[in-house]
Amino acid sequence: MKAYLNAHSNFSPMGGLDTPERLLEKAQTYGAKALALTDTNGLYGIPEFIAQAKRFKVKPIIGAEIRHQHFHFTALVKNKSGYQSLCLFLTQMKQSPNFSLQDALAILDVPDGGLIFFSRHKIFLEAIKNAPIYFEMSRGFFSHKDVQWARQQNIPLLANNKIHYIEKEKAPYYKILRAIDGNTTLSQVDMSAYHNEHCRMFSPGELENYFAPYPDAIKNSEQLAEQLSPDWFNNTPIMPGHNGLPESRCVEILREKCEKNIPLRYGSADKETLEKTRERLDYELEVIAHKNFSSYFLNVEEMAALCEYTCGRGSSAASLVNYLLRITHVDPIAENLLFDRFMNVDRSDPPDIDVDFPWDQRDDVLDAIFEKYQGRAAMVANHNFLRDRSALREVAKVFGIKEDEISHTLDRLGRIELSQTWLKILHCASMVEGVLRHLSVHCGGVIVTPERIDSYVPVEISAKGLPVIQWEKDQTEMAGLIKTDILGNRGLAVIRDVINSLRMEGRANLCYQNMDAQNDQNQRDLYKRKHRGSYPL
Amino acid sequence: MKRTIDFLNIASFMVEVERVKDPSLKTRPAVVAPLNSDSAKVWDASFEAKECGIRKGMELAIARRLERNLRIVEPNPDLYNSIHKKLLHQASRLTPLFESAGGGKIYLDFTGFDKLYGRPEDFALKVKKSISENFSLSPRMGVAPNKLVAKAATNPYLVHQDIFWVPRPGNFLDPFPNHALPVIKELKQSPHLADVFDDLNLLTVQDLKSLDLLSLEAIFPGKHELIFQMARGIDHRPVIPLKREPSIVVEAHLDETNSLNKLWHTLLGLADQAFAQMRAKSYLTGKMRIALRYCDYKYLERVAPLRGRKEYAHEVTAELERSLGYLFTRRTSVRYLMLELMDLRKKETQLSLFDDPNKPLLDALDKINKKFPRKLKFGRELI
Repeated sequence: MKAYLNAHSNFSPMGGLDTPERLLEKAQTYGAKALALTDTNGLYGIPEFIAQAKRFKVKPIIGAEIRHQHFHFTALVKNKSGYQSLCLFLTQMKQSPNFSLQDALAILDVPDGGLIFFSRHKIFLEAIKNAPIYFEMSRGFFSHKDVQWARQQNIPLLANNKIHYIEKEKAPYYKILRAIDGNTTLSQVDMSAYHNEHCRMFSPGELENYFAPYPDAIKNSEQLAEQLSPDWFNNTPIMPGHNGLPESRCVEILREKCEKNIPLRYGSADKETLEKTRERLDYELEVIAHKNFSSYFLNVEEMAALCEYTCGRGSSAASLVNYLLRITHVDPIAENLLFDRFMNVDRSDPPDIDVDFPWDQRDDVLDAIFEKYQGRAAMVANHNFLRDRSALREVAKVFGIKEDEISHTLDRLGRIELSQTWLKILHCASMVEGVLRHLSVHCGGVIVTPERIDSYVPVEISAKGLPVIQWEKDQTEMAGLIKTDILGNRGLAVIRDVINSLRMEGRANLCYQNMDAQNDQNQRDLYKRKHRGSYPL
Repeated sequence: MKRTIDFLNIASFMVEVERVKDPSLKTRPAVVAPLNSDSAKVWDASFEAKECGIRKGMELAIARRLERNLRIVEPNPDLYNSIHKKLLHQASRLTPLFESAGGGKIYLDFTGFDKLYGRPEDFALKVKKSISENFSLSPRMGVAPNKLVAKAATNPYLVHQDIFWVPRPGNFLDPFPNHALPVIKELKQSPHLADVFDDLNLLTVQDLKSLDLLSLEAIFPGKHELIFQMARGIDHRPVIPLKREPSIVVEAHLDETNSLNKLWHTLLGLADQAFAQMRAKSYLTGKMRIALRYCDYKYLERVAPLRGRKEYAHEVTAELERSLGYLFTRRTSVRYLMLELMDLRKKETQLSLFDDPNKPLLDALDKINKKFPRKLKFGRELI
């Protein structure tokens, strides 16, 4: 057998001990040609997995193992439409509390839907009518009677072994992981349903020996691995599009808007500065058009226009286009800022514009964005892994240590002598470190896609009710999705309140967007007046 | 008849018990408090620690700051309970009328025992000696005509003798703080009365005694008569003996474990032991009490009524499993497990027409258990 079709990495929430890199490395050592990453109920590590697979020259296969109270199966992606169906399915399953088998079949059971299923759940296998299916033979999870049933039903067999960790020695640590996930003790962990002691990476020889009585299952497995390939999955930037307009039209609109704003921004500038500005604008627009980013700039401009008090931060301040579109408020020509630092023809990763909003208006801005780009926008996730202290804390709980003692010991780690139990806990914690615990929401990253976002990546709903994609910022970039940071800023809120207060008292009529901080008159207005709270300005 | 009440008071009971275990704690400031915790509270403090300002319920971190050389001992509540039970048992040998007043504190009523034991100081000495010999603990003894004065006579700050007899209360209570009267302690709990004592400068019992009944009624309506009497050392509260129904208690002190299998084995072992003891006394049980204590001192118990009277442990296995599942719901390790067979009734002497076919086997198992205690293993115990 030259392929592993059901491997769980540390991106399976509390369901796998090894990273995709380690799985691929081991698969390469075993001489495997393909490895399918089938994390539980998600595609949390797919971009990372595909990037790593190129290094190890092992064919990556995209998939997911679906565990739901009503059904259980593994889906492997055959082509782009299959990937989109899987994303849509995962999104709906995550977002609907009463998701049923019928709902699942409505999305998945389509002829040539681009997905291939294997399962040992008989109800699911019987229900699927159109899509290609296999009976999953994973070590320790099937009996000869099940195989006979599958043969009677004309369901082809698939030799395969579920992988949750690589080495046999890691079985106890996997059990600890299950205990953490199930909020239970080691003696009460239920390993029977989806996990057993054989959920490791066997060598191809071992698997061939085990499945020798079922040669058709081995053959099916190898044929299936050959069919599947994610060549279509690459990191080409996916531009969000602007009001459904083609990119060429967006280039024109962008130029028009920038030129229209030159008199507003540089009305009092001398001729030499104006020439310099036009020269710089041409260069920037050329680079932006070359990289097809015009629609992205127009979208960010629309987002920034949702609030009067905004402030572009970071490298985006080096762009004249941003300054003219009122995304940033620092003159890159006067301050002599280099555009190439923000964006240049040779830079492979997409630029990232960070925009600050007053902290108490940020949620309203996000709501407006989600309303405008309905179904096309979502927040970027943060992956919360089990790390040093959290791993130690969780393992200590599994070992029955009381809360007080855990906090006490963790605070004094390295300064006190540890008991044998604690040494064991330290060792076990080091083995379960790096496993995905749960998702949280990135502080400001928003993704907008040209079509519905759940056809690019599965989307979950955060505790606050925001849509969140299953990838964190690095993997988002790897998949070619363009992120805009919508950030909250307390300073901006204070500035807004001060300006509003000055306006109400009739002391000064300042306009935040046109305010020139270097202007002597403005400085006098602000600093010399004995107005409460004017110090932030 | 003039009453004679003894109050046996082992001050700082928990620390004193720990001092018996570890004599190096003697004469040093020591407290009983959970270790390995930053928010732990002091359970009990020695006299020396109290002199440094350390009190029960104080945060351990503050106690440490008050006394740098403070010795801290991990609490062992099961040991304190068992010693207190043994003290009660000892008291039961001296008088049938005794009442438990918390850890290391017992009221003993020796009214009418003069001819048997001699003068009140003599039988107080006898009690003190018997406690010292059997437990290596040194109690203070207060002897008086009522519970209130007897208790006050053991106050280590105002009475400097280990045995103190107060034949007539008279002015004995005058220098005591007002909370020496239980009724005042109770009144101080209510928020609107907490400050009245300071406002009216009623700080000692003498201050309360100086008020007439009408003044007391104006300040403490409803409780004035009781305060009036107690301030004069009059207390009619009787010594209420324990009403104990026969029961069989077996307990296990475990090395900290959160393994369900291990707990289940232990509970089955306890059940075997308890039922064997019960059968030896020809009883049948109608109710069980199962209790466990986690290592963070959380104590849970469940009383399980049984359907009909039971004689053998295997008849209650399902109930034991249910109770353990009900009590063991956390991941924290368990230190203590207890099984009590309650509602015991004598077995009927009526012979049955047909012999129980399992009886010879069960009797044989009882014999083996008796000869080799807790060696037999059943069912899950074999895992």
